[in-house]
Amino acid sequence: MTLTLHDLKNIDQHWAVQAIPSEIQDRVFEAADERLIRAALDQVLHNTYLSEVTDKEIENVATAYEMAAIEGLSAVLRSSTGEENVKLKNQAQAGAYRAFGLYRVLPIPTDTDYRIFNVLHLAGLAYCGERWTDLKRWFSDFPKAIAIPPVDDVQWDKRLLYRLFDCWIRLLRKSDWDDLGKVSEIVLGLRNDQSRFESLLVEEQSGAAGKATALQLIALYHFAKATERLAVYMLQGEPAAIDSELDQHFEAAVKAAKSSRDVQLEMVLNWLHLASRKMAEGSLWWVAHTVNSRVKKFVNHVTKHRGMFELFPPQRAALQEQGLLDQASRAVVVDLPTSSGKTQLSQFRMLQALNQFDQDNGWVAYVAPTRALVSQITRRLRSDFEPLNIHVEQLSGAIEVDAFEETLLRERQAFQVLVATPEKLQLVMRNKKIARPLALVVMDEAHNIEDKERGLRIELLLATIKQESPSANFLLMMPFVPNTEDLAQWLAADRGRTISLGTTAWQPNERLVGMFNVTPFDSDRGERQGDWHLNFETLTTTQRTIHLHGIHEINGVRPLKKLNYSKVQGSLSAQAVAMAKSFSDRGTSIAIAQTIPDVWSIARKVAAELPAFEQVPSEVALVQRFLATEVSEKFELINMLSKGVVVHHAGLPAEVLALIEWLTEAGHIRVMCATTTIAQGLNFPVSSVFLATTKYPYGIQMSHRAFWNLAGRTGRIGQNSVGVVGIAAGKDQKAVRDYVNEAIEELISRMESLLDELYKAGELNNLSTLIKEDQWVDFRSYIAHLWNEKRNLDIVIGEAEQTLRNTLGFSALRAKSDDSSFQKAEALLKATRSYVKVLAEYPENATLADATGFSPEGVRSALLGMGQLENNLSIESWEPSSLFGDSNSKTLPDLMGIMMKIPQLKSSLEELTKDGVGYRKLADITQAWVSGKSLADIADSFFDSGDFTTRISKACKAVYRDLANNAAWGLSALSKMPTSGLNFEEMSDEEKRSLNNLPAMIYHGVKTEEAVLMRMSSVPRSIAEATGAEFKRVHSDNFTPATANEYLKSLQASDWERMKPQSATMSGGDYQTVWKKLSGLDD
Amino acid sequence: MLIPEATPSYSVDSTPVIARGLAYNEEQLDGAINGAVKDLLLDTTGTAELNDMLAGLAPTEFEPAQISQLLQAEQEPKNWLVGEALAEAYVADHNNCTFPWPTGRDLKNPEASPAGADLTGFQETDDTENPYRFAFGEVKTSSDEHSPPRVMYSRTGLKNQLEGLRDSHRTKKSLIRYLGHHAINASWWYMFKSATKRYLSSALRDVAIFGVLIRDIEPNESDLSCCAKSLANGCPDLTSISLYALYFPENAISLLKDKAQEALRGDEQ
Repeated sequence: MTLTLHDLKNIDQHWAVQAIPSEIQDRVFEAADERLIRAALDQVLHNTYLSEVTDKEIENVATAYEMAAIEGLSAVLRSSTGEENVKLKNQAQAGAYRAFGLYRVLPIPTDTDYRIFNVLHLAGLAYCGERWTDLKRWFSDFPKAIAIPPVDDVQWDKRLLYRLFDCWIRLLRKSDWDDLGKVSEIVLGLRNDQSRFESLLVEEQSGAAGKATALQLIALYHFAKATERLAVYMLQGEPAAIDSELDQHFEAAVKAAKSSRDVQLEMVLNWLHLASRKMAEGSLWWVAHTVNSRVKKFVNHVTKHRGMFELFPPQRAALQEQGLLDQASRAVVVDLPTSSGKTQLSQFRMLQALNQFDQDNGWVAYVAPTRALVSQITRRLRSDFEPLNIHVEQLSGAIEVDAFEETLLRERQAFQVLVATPEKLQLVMRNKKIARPLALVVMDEAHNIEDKERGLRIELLLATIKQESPSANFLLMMPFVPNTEDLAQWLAADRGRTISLGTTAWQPNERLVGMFNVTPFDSDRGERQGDWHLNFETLTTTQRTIHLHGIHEINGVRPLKKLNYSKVQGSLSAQAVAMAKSFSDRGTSIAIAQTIPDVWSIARKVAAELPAFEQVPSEVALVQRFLATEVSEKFELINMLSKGVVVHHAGLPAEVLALIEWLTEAGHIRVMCATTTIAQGLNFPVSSVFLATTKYPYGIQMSHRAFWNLAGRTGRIGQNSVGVVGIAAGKDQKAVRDYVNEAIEELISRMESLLDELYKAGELNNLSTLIKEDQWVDFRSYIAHLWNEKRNLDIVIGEAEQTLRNTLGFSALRAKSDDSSFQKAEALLKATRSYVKVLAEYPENATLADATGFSPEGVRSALLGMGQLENNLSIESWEPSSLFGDSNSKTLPDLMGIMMKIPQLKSSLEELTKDGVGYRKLADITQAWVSGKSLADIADSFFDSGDFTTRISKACKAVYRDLANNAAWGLSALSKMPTSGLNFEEMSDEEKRSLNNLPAMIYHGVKTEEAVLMRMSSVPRSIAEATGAEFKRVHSDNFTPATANEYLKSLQASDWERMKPQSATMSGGDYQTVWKKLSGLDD
Repeated sequence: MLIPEATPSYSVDSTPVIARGLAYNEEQLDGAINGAVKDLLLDTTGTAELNDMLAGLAPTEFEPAQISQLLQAEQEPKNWLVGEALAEAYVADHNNCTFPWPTGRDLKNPEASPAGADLTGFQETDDTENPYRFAFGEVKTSSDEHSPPRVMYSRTGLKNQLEGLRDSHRTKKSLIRYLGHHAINASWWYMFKSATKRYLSSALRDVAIFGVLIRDIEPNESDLSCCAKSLANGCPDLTSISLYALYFPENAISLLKDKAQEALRGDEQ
């Protein structure tokens, strides 16, 4: 069983631990934390109070825990699930967990042999305590500890020991395939050396000492063999029965060491026996052996190419103990800590589902919350699955489905895995665009089901799938959710399974969470007026974070030299970025501010004070050239990148965000300045995060779950960092203290919380009227869909109760026995029935709602608006050349005018008009964008207030967020209205395709279908028309994303060079590299 | 009784360290060797077991030939080994000690990985809750005519070893952990548990330390007196240190192994 916090609590009651007074234990653990932090943050965090605890005291407590571990050691090696064995096993694991935590902060012996035994002993404890990731980090922190001693001048027995130490460091570190591959070579080398070196040792020995040496050698030879077998297993998964081989050799080795009276060797062999068994059990190969050939190929691929050999403890627990791959479970809901490898876990379940549905050509839907994450996940899955001949595609547009996507969805073999946002998948599912059976829905960050904006949509998407795809399985993944059972119960009553690993003892790494503030200058220290310091106070939190005594000064007087005390005191964002700067030597630090202008402002401040890279890394230079080409040479981010500073917010193109994330993972980014919305999409590890506020724009408080999810991204597994999270103290320090110390709420469906709000306001009885409000739009669309499915008033009303029970909110209310829940459920039922009657009066609205993704009311507004147009629309009006190319044409401005009246579109489009952009201008921007005008041109032509960066930001936001999301969707929806002037039945396939690609042109900012195809395949916009044109010339008969991809793969750097625009700063090679990076071919 | 009573020769205690000289005549020595001491010497790995270990080497793909030679070599008890056995028997008899685990004798290998003490076991005390504590000891056998003998003060001499046991956690820690690996299901588990509790709760101080000199010269106070004083200086409370010099008849040390073999042969007959 995987180790839990409960086991850690239990182990504190062990007799050996209890022998030590509790106040000494407390002091020792406190001191261990302090030492850990000191080692990690000594350069940054000053005045660290150090408890007066000696090494001996720490060692004493460590020994007590180790005693508890030793007592249960043999139980870990036994597979028995008997109560007593399990108890002892947990005891061993928990004891080792604690002992490791203490031993690791003790000084490393300098004597070579002691050091070797010390490191191997620590490794044994780490594996027993499921802390191998912490061990890897320790290796990284203390490289001298794992230095391999030279073997030139040592006797054969020492030579064996030192070489085997080398092997074990490789086995424990597992940097990559070659690191492990070397183990077999070393052992083979030892066999070759035996005759030469062994005789020299043997000559000097006789009698009892000789006998002892002989026995030691026997022990070491078995040790060598076990080591070799383990390495081969980790690399190739052979032999499947590795356990018995390990047992055989380690038992023989221990026996010989015991007979030789070599106390240290015997003990270390005992520990490594256990470590080797745990390592093999946690190997990716273990899963391969239990599932199917697809998984085997997958494991083969990721071990070779990703250097991933081992499952994290929660992953192992999910797979081996908690039945993630149990085919009988229709819905599996996983509560897993952030950064514990959810994507990889889902990959196993995906492969299993594809195998299960192989004959029926089933497919898997992977739902990610943002488009940036859709791209990121697609790249990752593609890189892992394509070699297995499993095709992964993403739906890239906002909501509408373009012509190429239509084709893709229809084709039998086009994809096995489809990655999409909830919105996009909803449209696909409601319109039954994929005829093949849906095998599995994977929903990442499924806690978004409580989100105010999108929660209801997500819940209703799942409800639709549950109802209409009876064979589909569910895998929901989320962090920090105490009530996962409710979700499993909802999706698959008796066939639901929850995997709750929120209380697992394993942590991706240690974290400090605290509050930062500024203090004014101290004249006693020779500081000048206006100087200031940052300080940091760790806080007590509901999570397992390290708490240090006192307030700690952060390195340096006035970390942002240009700001004086009064300026920095008044700006929490400036404080956040000053913190980020101070911590940036340890890896990427994020400073979070509330708005995009704030973000630019702090990025400027920090960039002004950081030195430029001595030599700009080639990857950074590439991204700079990309920005110069795709955005503008004057774009401020380019210079910031020379200092290792970036911004990350919704106003940047998804491609830029992807490249920024790539640079971050490559370790080139010192400070990232972001808006609070990064909490939604941060899926890459950083070193520290400092928040000016925990509020989203418009003052909406970030949920505790979202905060801890964000905090969970700090620190890197297996690397040398303690994650640091800080919140600006500001004026209300109590609020900050309370915020991190408040329990994480149960996950409640948005539908339930909406009803609760009405109940509290005494408005439940008015639900039939209030349901027309914006917050219920997704619910109305859902009911419209249900109506559309049956088109019979009596049936829909009759089945309303049953249908609503498919939703999480309603089923949860029905499951509760209190009166208020009953009232809420009844009110919803009543409102639903009354709304169905409204729908029945205008059934075409419901039909169009399903087809377009609009609500029935949105459809009505659209129909009304189109009916009022002065000029009737015709097929010619929809020609790209007329729509986007003719500035005198009124079609696009007219359509934009209609869009601005549709509730689902208007808020975003209206936001644009706040910047002085009317719908005529909106149409002009769209035309400019589609016709290929650069972002700089758009910024200059349409946005005249503020500096260039502000205008570029506005232009980016306009085209990437507002136009791409809403205008594209709106255009697609309006084209489907009966008054669009289009007669689909009379149109040729080519005309239909051309029409369906109009929104994609807006989305991608290109004017031809072939360029759309290129953009879908991740080609940068500046070269999309040229590559598209050539592609069309060569492949006019086969206009599909798959062919486009093949074509792009075939291009050489010289081809890209030939096609690139003359003005481009990027070279042909740059284009090729960026394309590979963005399409996931280079992961 | 494992060993016959001896005649006290001197007492040079230096509080809290106990330091005593004890003389044995020929008869008492024979009695000791024929008594339990020979049993202590019997604790060796059997030939059949060694052969099994050698045969088990095949799957490792290392060559067994040279190891086989080493294992086949005749092995007879060394004088100092018999000396250690005598020391163990004495300490066990006179200090309520039990030494269930032979960490020191038999194949004692000076090149072995660092750790260990000649005597590792438990001492029974009158504490009702946790009656046992750890007992560690070091033994030196010397016919050196000088008093104190060189084995007392060399780098690896008795004094340094005992100071190490007194002050350093390193050796004690290794031994305790090692015993821990063997204590589960052992008959002496309760002793181990009690001793571990006392050791941990006393901040690593509550242990009994023994130093034994095996001599075959006339009893001489100088063998122990300085060492006792030195060990008394800075001895932590709860740690008890006892030094014994066992004086056997002249030249007895060089004959110890023969006497032991004789006793063992007698047993076989």
